[in-house]
Amino acid sequence: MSMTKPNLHDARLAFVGLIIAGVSHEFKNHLSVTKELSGLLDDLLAMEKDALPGRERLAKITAGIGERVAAAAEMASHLGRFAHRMDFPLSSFSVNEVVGEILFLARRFARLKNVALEFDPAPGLPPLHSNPSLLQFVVFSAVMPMFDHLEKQGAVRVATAAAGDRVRIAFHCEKIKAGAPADLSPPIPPEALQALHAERPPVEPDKDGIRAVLLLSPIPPESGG
Amino acid sequence: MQNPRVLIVDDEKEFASTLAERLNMRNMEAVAVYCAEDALALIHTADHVPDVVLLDLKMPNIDGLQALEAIKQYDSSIEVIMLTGHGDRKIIEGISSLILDYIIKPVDLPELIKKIGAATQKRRAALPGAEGGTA
Repeated sequence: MSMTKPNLHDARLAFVGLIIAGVSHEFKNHLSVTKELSGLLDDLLAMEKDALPGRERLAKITAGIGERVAAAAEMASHLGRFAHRMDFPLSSFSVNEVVGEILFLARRFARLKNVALEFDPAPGLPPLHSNPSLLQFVVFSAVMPMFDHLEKQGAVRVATAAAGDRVRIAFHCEKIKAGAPADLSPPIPPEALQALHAERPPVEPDKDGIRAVLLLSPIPPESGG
Repeated sequence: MQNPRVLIVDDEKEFASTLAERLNMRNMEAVAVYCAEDALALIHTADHVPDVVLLDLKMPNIDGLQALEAIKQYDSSIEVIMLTGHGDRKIIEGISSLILDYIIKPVDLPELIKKIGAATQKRRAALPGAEGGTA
């Protein structure tokens, strides 16, 4: 929550973030216990060597539990970090981390539409002072409608790049359905772009498969978001 | 080398006790306690203080940060590896001079064992009388 400009919206976001962060932390606790118990079962099986009938099948089961625990823990980690982005309206952050996080969490929605969602982060981007949670909302709002304009097995590839003191986020699309518009993302609420100090330059049709662009400027610290 | 002595401090009892059991299967002397108060009491009264404390960052009452400070005040040679759920990068950066390392839960056991080995070696090398230590 902002110490300089408290308002109901920020307080509600921080509240939602706190609940999600707390629950994802609890998930990780349960996953940690599950992993140790499964690991202990593995240890006990290893001590039995070949004497225990069905040992191989049990070992396969514990390996499967391990894989699921690892996948769920990765998801819980992303969810926890996503939640903490709502702690403060303004902060300095890595654009790649913030964008990578929301794309990871949005992959489920891409999978349900039979398309891929990929991220191509540019190395060496300087930290950006802005609103990370709002940026995630804008990126999410940009990619979600793109899925409907793609053929099955299509892909949305989000790429970051430095553009002077700004950061450029380009949304490339592959396997676009015939007749789709040049700019595939819907109108993002102008107040969101304004609050982010972001611009959406017009997109040239079919230029490198780019179907939407965001240009982000740092928010001056005194503006308070 | 004598087996590493490990104290696990985590309010998630089943996690701490199971991890201790698994470390004990791997030639370590691991003990689990479920709050910082018990950890500090054990360190103050034990014949042999632990080489390494695996310390959960977030616990009720005395949390991991307060416990870390108390442990280091009592015996700065005890190595501490923080256990954390989400990485908590900013907090970890703030205490980096007091801890040897940190590990994110769920624990990767081979990685943890490596870190315990390094911590034990570092502590024992620094003990009075150790070769190259502070005699």
